[in-house]
Amino acid sequence: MSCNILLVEDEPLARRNITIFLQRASHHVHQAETGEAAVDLISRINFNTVISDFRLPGRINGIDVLKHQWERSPEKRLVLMTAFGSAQVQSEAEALGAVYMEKPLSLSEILSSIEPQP
Amino acid sequence: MIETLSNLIAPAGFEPHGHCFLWDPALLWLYVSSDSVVALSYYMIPIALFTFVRKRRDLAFNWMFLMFGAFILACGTTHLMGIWTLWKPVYWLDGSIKAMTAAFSFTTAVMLWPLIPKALALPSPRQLEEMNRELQGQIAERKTAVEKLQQSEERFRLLVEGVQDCAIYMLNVEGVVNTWNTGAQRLKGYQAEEIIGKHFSCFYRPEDIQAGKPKKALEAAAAKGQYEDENLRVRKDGSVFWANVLITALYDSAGQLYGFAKLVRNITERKETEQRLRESERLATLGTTAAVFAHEIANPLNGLSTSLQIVGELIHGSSHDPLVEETLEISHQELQRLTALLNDYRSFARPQSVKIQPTNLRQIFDEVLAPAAKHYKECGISLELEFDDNLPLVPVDREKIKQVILNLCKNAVEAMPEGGTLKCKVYQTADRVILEVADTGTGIPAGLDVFQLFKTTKPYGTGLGLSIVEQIVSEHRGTVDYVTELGKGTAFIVSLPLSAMG
Repeated sequence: MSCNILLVEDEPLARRNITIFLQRASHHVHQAETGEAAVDLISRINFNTVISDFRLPGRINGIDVLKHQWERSPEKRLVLMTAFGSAQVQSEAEALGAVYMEKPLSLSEILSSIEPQP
Repeated sequence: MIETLSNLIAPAGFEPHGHCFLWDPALLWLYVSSDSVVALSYYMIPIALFTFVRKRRDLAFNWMFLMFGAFILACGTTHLMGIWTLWKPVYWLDGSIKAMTAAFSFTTAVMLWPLIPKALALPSPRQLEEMNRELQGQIAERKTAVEKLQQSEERFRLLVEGVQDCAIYMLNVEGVVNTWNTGAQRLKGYQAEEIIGKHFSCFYRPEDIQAGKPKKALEAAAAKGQYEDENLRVRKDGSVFWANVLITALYDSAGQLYGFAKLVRNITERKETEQRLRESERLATLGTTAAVFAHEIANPLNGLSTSLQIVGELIHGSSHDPLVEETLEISHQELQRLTALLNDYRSFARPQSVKIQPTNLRQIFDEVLAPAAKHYKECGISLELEFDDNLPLVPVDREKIKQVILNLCKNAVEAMPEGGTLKCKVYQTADRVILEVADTGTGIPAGLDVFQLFKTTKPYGTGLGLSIVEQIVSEHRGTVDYVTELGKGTAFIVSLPLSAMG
């Protein structure tokens, strides 16, 4: 089943690689570089999944982006990625039901976390 | 002339005075006895006056007393002449003596008047007595003041003597020690009799003496009144300590320098605390640097890692050359090493604040060991757990202590490449809880400081794991140590206080 995914990541190479990997798995990927752009897209498009980096340029971080999606529809799949993790960020992410991943990422883990388990 | 004299003594034609009394014996005796007593009395008075004047040599106007004496003596003589003239008519002689008496009397009377204001100016005995009393009072006051001063001096001396924490002593102008207190004895190790008379440069290190520091210190104190220094000083036994030295120049009332007062305190403890503080500041800086570094590394590492994953995905099954897959696998392993190093860095760089909460240590061990159970089995490592059944909740930072246990277990496993037994033990002593993580591995060579940053014996170790352990344990006011034997294994022992931390 093809998913409509929002990927929020400011690092171009990570954004490119995750997008390629997900597209090769037949998913549809929208990209955003900032939290503000992500919030704007979430308000206009209905995504199945939001994958966001924690640290983003601007005033809105990854947790805020996921919270935004969660408030609209809490049943959607969420993934938080971070290069600088902490137990606090992890517990905040898990409180929203998001999958928490530290970088360097395993692409296959991202894939398995967003695809419905058989 | 002869005739005049004979007329005086034996005059012709005069009748003796007794003739006027008709030689009545009773009247004669009345005259004789009365004149005799008067004359005797008049003679006694000058004798008393002379004696008084002789004995009181400081007597003011003593010549007046002598004048009085002479005048009274003359008066007495006229009475003696009164007896003589009863029987002998020596009236000329009698008259002459009367004339002399008159001269003395008149002179004395005339000289007495100008003397009165002068005599009045002299203090009276009562005044003298009062002055005397006043003087006595002043003397008593002075005596009390001197006593008080002596007492105060004694108290001050005892105070200085009794000060145990500071060396307080005096130097003469040349720098020779001339007093010594208990504090000085304690601090520097010299008895008073050993050091008094010696030059104070013996408290300096040889290189300081060579640099002329003792002399410069006294010169600076003499020039500015006071000189302060913090430096190393030498005890009698040759050991050195950090000293705060205050030298005060002493001047007499004429402004002449007569010596120096020296106050020396041992500040070794403070210096060591400062050094520890600098060390921890240095580590904090290192931590911040590591945090920035870790973040800067993490993103390109992530880019590289995901790129490799995509390459792997792209060529999966399509390449017939096994070298391609092998090279990719090696790259992945190297990336994992880099990731491990990065994760250790992250632990080291995390904020240093400690969040204490009552924690079940057994639960933490389970959380660390359970996910690794499969890996242990593959490596041929068996687990032995020994937990005190009555273990209380321990006030620790849960995440940090988990990191400690994780690092110790990881080290233990890495020390057993051929397999072995990982033994974890937690038990309580009086006021502490002890965590032991032991392996049956290679052991640690003697003389290696395993807690030192970046120190490692493992080919792929980062040298950060045990530094992190030590850092976290010391944040908990605990201790970490180990026992090891080459070829037999190592046991790390962490001791944490059971009381909540301030």
